[in-house]
Amino acid sequence: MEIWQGLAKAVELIMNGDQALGTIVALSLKVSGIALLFSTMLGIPLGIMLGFSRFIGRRLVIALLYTGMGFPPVVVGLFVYMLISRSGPLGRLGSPLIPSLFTPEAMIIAQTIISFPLIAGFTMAAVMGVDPQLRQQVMALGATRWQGAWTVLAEARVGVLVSIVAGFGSVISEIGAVQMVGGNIENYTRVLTTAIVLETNKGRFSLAMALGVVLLALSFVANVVMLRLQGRTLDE
Amino acid sequence: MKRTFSRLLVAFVVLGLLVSCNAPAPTPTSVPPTKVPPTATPVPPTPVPPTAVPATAVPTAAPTAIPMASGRLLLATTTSTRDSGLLDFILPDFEKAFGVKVDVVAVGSGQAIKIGQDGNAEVLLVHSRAAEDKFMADGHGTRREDVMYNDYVLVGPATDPAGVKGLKNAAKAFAQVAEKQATFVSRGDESGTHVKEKDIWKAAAITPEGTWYVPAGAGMGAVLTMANEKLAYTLSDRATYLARKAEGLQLEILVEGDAVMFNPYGVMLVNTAKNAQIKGDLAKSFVDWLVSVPVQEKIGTFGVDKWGAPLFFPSSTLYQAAHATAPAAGLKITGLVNTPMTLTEAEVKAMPTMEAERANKEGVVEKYTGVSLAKLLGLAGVKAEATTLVFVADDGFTSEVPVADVLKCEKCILSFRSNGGFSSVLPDFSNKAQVKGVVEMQLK
Repeated sequence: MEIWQGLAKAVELIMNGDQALGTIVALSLKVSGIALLFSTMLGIPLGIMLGFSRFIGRRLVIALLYTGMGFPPVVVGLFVYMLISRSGPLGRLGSPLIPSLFTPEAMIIAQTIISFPLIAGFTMAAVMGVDPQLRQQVMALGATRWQGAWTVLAEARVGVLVSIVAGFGSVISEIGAVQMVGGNIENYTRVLTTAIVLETNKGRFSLAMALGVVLLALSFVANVVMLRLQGRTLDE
Repeated sequence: MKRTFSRLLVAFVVLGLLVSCNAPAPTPTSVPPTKVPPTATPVPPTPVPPTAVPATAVPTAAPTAIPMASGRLLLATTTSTRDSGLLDFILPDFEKAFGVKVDVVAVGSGQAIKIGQDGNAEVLLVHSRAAEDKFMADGHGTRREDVMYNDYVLVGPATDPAGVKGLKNAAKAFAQVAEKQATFVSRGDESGTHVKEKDIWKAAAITPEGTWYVPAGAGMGAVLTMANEKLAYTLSDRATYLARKAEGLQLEILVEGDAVMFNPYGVMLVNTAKNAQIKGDLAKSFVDWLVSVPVQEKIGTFGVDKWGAPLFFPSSTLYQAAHATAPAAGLKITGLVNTPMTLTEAEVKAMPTMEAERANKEGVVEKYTGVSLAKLLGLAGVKAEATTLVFVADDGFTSEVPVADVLKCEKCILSFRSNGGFSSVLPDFSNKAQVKGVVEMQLK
């Protein structure tokens, strides 16, 4: 029966705008949002480049990208942990540009690394999915190189948007890396996934449920918004 | 209507895809025309992409709106202090008083100590004495203080299949669990609790293995949940157990009170020499605060309202000193003096103090604070014919030293003992001259 109590409690917490819940949700969105921003800025240009151009080593880059798409987040977490640990190669520099472990910035780095290959990979696939003759056609009509690229991108926008949604989905629901590099510090690095694990460990299933419901709802809303943004539905 | 439905359907498909994991499955709209399964790529999973990214991501990450780690103190501690609620109970006082935020990373003692070794935390609050001593001996820490203790209990299902309920010997109980092959969930995470558990197995001369022995690799809370579900035994600290019991855990305490199940917590300052980023001053303030008498007393009240008994028992040196029954001994100066006198402890302590250093039996130099012996004797006025000073201890022990040497000695003091009373500290004299619990100085 705990599952129904949990659901009821979840609805109650959400309806009352519970403060602890609010902080956790805000932190999750902030961290994953910023990470997504970075990975989009890195991933989309790379995806477009891989989709358009032919260059030496392209297949290798693509292979690496696919590997990155399947890279276990915990491994990324471990990697970032060891890099920026104060006894690690970057952390020991003591530079203010290198964030410390157990900070939101550390989590952003990890999440950027996790989502970046997804965005690049899906963007590349979307760009390659556009009929190659389209570009030749607009170029023949006198479009510049950039205009040609833009036309193709506009045509592939659904795929590109999906890549961003995929990136968001991967980081907002990811736990291994954020637990490791964030440390699950209350009001600072405690996000939805780590809070769910913590509350489950404490035996407070109802709060864990509430957080789970919010996590699901967030992913759902993000998707609906994305679909709206693209200005048309997929079944048209 | 149909449109809305299919829109929702698509959203759900995408959602399910995303939430399940970040598997790079093709979405309805973007089918990669090249080979899809990334696992099939012939390239080994080199860590090239991750290394390439931080270099570019780092500079951009800095100027975000999230506050940088200033005015923050990182405390690496064990799950028991957080999961029991103790830290939530005491830390806000420190944060308010010092205007800083204490970030708590709660992990097993083993990991907490590793975090300290790597210089990633300022302060450690752990319970794994052997590992703590090693940490200090290896120079990772600059100071260690006792903080508090609680105890471990062997918990298990009420049905008690191994029949250990009421046993007074933890090792015997463990042996019985192993013999009956009753399910036992182990922390398995090198935490203080896990180390203690291994000690008890060792005492029982058993190497636990087999399907009945489940190393969970998880925190105390998670292990209790697991043991509850599996109707298994586990070793838990009392604090976490009681906190969880109040929330519906069904496991019962079966064995408690064995001396081996005593669980002391220590706080350690991470060596600032490790790293310039470690905030040594703030960390020192934190340790001073944690072992101070008011905070210690507050620790002793934690949980009383909820469970009728404290979860942790304060044990810092300061706390013990304040709560020891101070002997009303005072100090007498008698014999060949102009004015024989009896001083109360407070009167002696009101005199100007000084410090003396002396190597103890282990060769470690210790610092003592007290009152100059020469000055004390001068107060009473030593008669010319006096040749020997006799220290009389509270237990009747006496020790004699030449009075002339003492009067010449500038470093000789009567030091204040941490829980009341005095000791003679005469740095360049023999061990015999160092008397604990001096109540009388007799001149003859």
